[in-house]
Amino acid sequence: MLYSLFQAAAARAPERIAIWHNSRSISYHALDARIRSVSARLNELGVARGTKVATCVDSRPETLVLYYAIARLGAQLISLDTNSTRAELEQVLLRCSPALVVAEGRYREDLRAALASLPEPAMLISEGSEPHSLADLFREGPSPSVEAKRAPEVGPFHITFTSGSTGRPKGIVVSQRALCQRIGAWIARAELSAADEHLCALTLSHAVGPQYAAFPALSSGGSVHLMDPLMITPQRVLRYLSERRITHFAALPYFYQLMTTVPNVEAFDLSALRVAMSVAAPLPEETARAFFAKFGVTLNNGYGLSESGIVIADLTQRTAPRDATIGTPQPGVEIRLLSDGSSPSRSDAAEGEIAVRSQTLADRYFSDDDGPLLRDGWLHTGDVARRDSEGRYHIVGRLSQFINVAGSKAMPLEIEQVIAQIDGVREVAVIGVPDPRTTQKVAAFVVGDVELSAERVLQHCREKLAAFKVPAYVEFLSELPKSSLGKILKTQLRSNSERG
Amino acid sequence: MSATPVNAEPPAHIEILCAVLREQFPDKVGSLPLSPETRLRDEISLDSLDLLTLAAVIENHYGRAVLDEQTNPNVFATVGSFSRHLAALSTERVDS
Repeated sequence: MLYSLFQAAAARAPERIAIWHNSRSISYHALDARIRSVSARLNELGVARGTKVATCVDSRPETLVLYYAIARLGAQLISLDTNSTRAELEQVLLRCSPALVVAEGRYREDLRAALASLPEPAMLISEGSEPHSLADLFREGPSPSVEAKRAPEVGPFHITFTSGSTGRPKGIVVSQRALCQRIGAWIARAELSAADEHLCALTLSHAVGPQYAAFPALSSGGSVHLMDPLMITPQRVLRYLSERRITHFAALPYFYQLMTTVPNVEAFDLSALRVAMSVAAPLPEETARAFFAKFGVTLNNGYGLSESGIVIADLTQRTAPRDATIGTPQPGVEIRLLSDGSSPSRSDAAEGEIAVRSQTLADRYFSDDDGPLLRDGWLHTGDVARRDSEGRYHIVGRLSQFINVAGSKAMPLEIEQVIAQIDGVREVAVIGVPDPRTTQKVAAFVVGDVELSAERVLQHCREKLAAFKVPAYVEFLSELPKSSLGKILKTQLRSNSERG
Repeated sequence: MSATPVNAEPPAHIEILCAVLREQFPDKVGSLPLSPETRLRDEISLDSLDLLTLAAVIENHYGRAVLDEQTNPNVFATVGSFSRHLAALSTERVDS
């Protein structure tokens, strides 16, 4: 199914450029030929329907060739996070026991050591590895004599493991069918066509880069421009967006925030940019406003998990952001807001935990130990939202992040948004810390200008918030601890505050 | 700030870089002496978001993109490699 979507796009415009990478380009026709030859080589190595192939590869055209080749054989793709430490790689490999691992040369020694401890032997294809090297696998030129048999593209396909920042990584299994539903829904919602130019500067080793940047582009006949996520800078990206007339782009909120600090932006013309998605973390309203003021482009907020795909999105274009809405449900997605553990089939509150039912949902967690993915067919996300009178959704917080102050529930996000309004505040994170008297109290960690005082923060909070939500203490940091995806690591703040 | 070695890196660039490092990452740099050999990841423990922040601040200072498709990914290896890259950029024609 994934490969069929690509093949249909390739048949419509074989000479259209499919991928740009630095100054290299490859047409749909040539890309298809490379996918066929890599799938034939993989097939010769024993990869067939259901085979687990783990990858640890950079954002380059060969990676997409490899992913499509695995899909074409009906095999399973376990994309390992290229930011992983050796211990994390070992942990994931031990849990999923792949038959084959394809990895960039710099992971070769770490992976070799990890693979040696697996109960079943696995083959490693890497730079200079024997008997099969990465160069052999991706070698250009005629396909092997025997065309690989195409297997039905059904069953589990893309498996990603959530980053190990909090305990054991959790594997999420997305079937070919669910993946194609995600791609189809995104193409429809973002109105993608063969005229689109996509800049993908998200890693292809997580779920969101391939599923929401590369695959939709290559399923709708557009061109995808790959840029190494470790080599992006605000001015480089602005220049690229401007010069290459990019129409679809996705980045973390933090990257957009950095883009708003660039001086003299008159040289950059973002008039072609139709969709600028903010992914992986909540988009601060201030960032959306500042970005619009500077570039005249509305940042498109959205909500999704690796378990669900993007299920709520705001595709508003060219209008000043009114608020921090995440938008409206994607076509075909049912959303219920659950208050106090009510059942999604029976209730839908104006505010409550988001429950999702959709064809885009993952099939299951990789291990049964991680529990069932769905309850009565619904994914309970643990995130709390409210719906406004126009049917638009707004994230309020996370269930588990409620701060319980003497029985009153404070939502960190609400307090963070209030503190972020203060001049001189660059970043803020609010957590609950234990308090013998009130169960928990509110603690705020602020990154801001030197002249900013705790008293100024508290004064503003007292003006805007109920007393129980006003932080019991404010601490200034030079930066907030973040995961490789840019998510603030609140667990780390919590343990630091307990130690301190 | 540490003394500039005799086989001098261009002082302007390395000094700007060291000043930005101290200003942006005071907790990580601390009292660490910075030299051209100081490794950004291993010694100062800059992660990928720190390097992005560093590049953004430097870009805003120089008023131009500091990385492009020809840039060697090892440019962030050490204080010296990054400042040599900045020196090369500043002598390059801007119309490239």
